[in-house]
Amino acid sequence: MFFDTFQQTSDGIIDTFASGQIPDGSLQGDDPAHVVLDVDTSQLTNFISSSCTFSFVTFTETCRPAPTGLIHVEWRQVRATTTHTSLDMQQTFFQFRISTHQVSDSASAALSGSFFGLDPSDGGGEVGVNHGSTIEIDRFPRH
Amino acid sequence: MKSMILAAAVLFTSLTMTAQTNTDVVHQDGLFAQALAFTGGTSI
Repeated sequence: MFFDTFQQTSDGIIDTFASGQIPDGSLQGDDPAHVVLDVDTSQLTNFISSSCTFSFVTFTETCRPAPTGLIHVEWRQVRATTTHTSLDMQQTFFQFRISTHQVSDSASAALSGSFFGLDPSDGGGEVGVNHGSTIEIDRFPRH
Repeated sequence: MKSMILAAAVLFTSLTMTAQTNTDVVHQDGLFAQALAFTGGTSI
C-alpha cells in the first residue's frame, strides 16, 4: 500500500507519503465489485511514512515520521466507466518515484469509510484486476 | 597511495548508493484499488 497526501498551510504545504507492506487480509474482496481496506498503520512493522513541511516564505523543509492511524476505505464499483489499461508510466513526486508497468481491467468506484478521520466519499476510485503488473516505488532520502 | 584513495572513493560511492536504494517492488496478478479524494480548497 502507498499513499500521498497534500495539505496547504498558511505559508506552504505539508506533503505526507507512506508505503510498505500490509497484511494479506487487510484488503478484502473476492470480487472487484466491492473491496474493503482495513489497516491500522500503527501496527505495521514494514511500513515507512514521512511528513514534510515546506515553507515558501523561509524556503525551509522539515521532515519527520508521519502520524499513524486507522484507514478504512470501501470501493463499490458503479461502472460508470470501465477501463482496460496497458501502460508503462513513471511519476515523480516530492518524496518518491513510481514506475508502473500495468495491464489491468477496472471500473469506476464510489468511496466510503475513513482515512485518518477524513471522509473520502466526495472523491472517486478505480477498482479492478491487474494482470502480471509491476509497481516499483523508490523513496527519496530525506533529512 | 593512489590505490588507497581509489578504494576509499569506491566505498563512499557504495555507501551512498546503499543509502539511496529504498525501493519497494510489487508484482501483482489480482485485485487492486485506487482512491482519489479532495477535501476543502478551491478547484479551477
